[in-house]
Amino acid sequence: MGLKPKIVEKVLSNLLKRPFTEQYPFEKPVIPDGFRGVMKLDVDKCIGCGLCSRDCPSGAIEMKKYEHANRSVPVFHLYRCTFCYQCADSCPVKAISMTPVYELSTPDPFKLILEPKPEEVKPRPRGVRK
Amino acid sequence: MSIIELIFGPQHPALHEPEMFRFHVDGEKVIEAIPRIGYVHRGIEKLFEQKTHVQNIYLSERICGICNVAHTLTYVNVIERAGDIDVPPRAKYLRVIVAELNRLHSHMLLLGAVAELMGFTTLFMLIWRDREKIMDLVELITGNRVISAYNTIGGVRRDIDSDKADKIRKVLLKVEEEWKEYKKTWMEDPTITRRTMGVGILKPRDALKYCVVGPVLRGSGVKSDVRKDDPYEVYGDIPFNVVTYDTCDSWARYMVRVDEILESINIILYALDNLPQGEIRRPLVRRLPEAEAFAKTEAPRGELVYHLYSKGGFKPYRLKVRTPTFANILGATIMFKGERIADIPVILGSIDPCFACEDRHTIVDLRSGKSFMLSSREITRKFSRGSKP
Amino acid sequence: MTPLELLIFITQTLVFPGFAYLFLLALFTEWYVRKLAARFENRLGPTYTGPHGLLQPLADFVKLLFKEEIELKYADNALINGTLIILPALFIAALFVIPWLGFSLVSFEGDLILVILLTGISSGLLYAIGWFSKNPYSVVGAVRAISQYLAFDIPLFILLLVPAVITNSLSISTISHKLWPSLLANPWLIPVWALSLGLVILVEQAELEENPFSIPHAEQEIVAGYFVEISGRRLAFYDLARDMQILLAGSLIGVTFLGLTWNPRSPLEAALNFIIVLAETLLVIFELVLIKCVTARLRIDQVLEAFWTYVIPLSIFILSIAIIVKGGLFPWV
Ligand code: SF4
Ligand code: SF4
Repeated sequence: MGLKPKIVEKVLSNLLKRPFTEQYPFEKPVIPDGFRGVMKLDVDKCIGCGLCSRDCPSGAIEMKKYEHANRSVPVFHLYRCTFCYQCADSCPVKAISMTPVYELSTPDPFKLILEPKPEEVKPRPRGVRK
Repeated sequence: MSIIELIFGPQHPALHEPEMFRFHVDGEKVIEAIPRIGYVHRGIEKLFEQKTHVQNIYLSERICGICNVAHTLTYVNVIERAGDIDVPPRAKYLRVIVAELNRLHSHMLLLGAVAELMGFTTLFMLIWRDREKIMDLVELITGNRVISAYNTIGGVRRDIDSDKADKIRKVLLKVEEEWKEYKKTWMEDPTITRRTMGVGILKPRDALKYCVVGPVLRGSGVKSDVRKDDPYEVYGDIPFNVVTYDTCDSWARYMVRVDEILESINIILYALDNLPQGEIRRPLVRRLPEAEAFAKTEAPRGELVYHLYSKGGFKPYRLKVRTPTFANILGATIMFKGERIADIPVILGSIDPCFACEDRHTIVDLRSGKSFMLSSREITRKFSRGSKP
Repeated sequence: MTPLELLIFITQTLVFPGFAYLFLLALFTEWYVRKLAARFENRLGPTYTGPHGLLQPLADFVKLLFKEEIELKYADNALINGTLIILPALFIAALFVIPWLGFSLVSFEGDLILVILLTGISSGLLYAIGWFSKNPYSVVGAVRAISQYLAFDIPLFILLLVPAVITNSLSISTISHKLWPSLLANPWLIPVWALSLGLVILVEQAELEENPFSIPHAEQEIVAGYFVEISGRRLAFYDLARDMQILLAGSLIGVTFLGLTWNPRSPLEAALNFIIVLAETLLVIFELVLIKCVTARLRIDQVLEAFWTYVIPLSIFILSIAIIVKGGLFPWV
């Protein structure tokens, strides 16, 4: 059996190095810009066209009718979402943006429904388009 | 000792995905290997027909998480060919960069996993440590570590600026340096070479006869690479070598991947230097005319083929996918014969099996318990009949 | 025996250097091996339980004791259980003989042979576990273990005799006391000693079935080999036996090949001896873990060929050279 100084050297030098491991719950990883985390909907921008819902590959977006404001707004069911951001791509007014939030596990599945509160949804002024 | 039937899988430490192999062993020697595929059949091809072309981009990358960029790339290629959509040159370069990053981390994954299969945990840990840096680059460019969702019909979805390009260059140069050391280990380490050299021989003639693809074929000394033979995107403009090794054994198949990592790094650096300016995508086309199209790319595991038949409208009429592992699994049954039990993981690793993508086919082996008495030639015939498109 | 003597005897057996001490030391060995391997691989190793994860092996042991035990209908469970009780007992018996304080409780002329015998029996027991489990994987693992057994045990036995020849004694404590004086008295023995030290670490690695010789329980090939059917309490005992085996390997080679101890005359000297023996043990285990971390697993035919054609003749050669040099048969010595 031949000698293998290279790997032995590497292994011994590792002994002096800091371990590469990130201790996740105690040490958060660095999230780069543009990370596809939980999406954020700008309710005031949305025109209720439903394109996001139509293009979503996993059927995670439900268009919910808010009677008091007489408009439909997308509701995200995150437990179905694959975080592909096709919805953000398809949106004609760029009402959907990304956040770096990724810690989603929860015992309560209802927490994973992103639904605007009724008071957030204001009626759209007629005839105005951004 | 009499003949023992040793069952590998569906759950086994050497297999990272559920698949079953029956090995008839005499002592330590393998007499026969019988694969049984179909454990992770998910009906994806049928699902393609239910969804729109845009939604199918994200479905196609779920065929195989590891080579997801190769899948979306082939998928958008087939759509672009059917709909006659042209892609801006900058997008083509960006596609190449991400596809090669994908190849890098896929090969690293395999080489690390194989080091672990041989019991070399240190090499496994070190390779995967470096793979983590590549994953971070993928996250930087595409927004997620594994599933990239980067290619789209008519272009790519995100641009890279000079800051990102510099970061990519810096990390790649570092990885290249490390990788040269690993290459030395793969070439010279006595325990690795003893385990892999001369094990699982696949002669070039057999390789062509059983239609193996990708690194398995190149490991048998056949110069075949879709990137060179039938250039897609901008591979025609980028200089790179097709790596072949002609010892035809498992070691050759691993070394092809080791060298391809260095080639891929060069391709990415070249693409970054020659990145043209301009837009990165055309307006999304949702509706296709009546058309039939065919696209193939070189996925990390070999030639990946998509065949689309559209009757017009928003949904495909039929989409057929042929993944590389499905082509390679037949060749593997030849490699096993006459080898030892200890060599099974090494040989299986050398085809870089990805069963989840293979099992998308509807060929499920329904032979009853006693029919494994079939000779392997009969099985081969049976399997090859099924694999005809 | 007076009551006081009896009390001391019982304390020695149960506490130091008896069960409690060996149990804790075995768990510490496991922690040391795991932490060291992790650091070699640029990982962290155990961190959560206790300071620096020191209590992790104990936590694992206790956890396994409470786990469900799966007994197969077709396996010879009584025989497996019996084997697993004998196995740690063998290693404890062997570890009693090691002179932890510079002397040992049960030291007699020829205890080296006893230790070698006990380790030899242990290999047979591992085979028995695999065979009685009646699982294809465990049977293949057991057959692999037994085919390696002779190839590893013969050179180990021969090489352990080299320090015995150098010091003219078969008692481990005497060897440990007289090793350096004899080596210095006859400097020609030093190269022989160095060569045998290098070889014995390799052979011990094989005896421990660690990489590159981890063939009988090669995880990726035959799942866990001979102990594939062992779970719950049995696994706890198997793991304990395994830790003790590593401890025994480290301390036996450390004491017989590195020596450096003396017969203590005061408690302080005994403590010093203890530190030396522990350091030697950890040093040898360090070497073993290093070998484990820089190699891939070999195949059984390659290993057997290498051992029967090179290692065994080489060890016989080293032993004969040691005898010749010691016996003054070289005219120029
Ligand atoms: S990110 Fe993708 S899966 Fe999630 S809601 Fe948007 S389109 Fe649907
Ligand atoms: S695509 Fe945009 S504007 Fe249309 S419904 Fe969705 S979020 Fe609102």
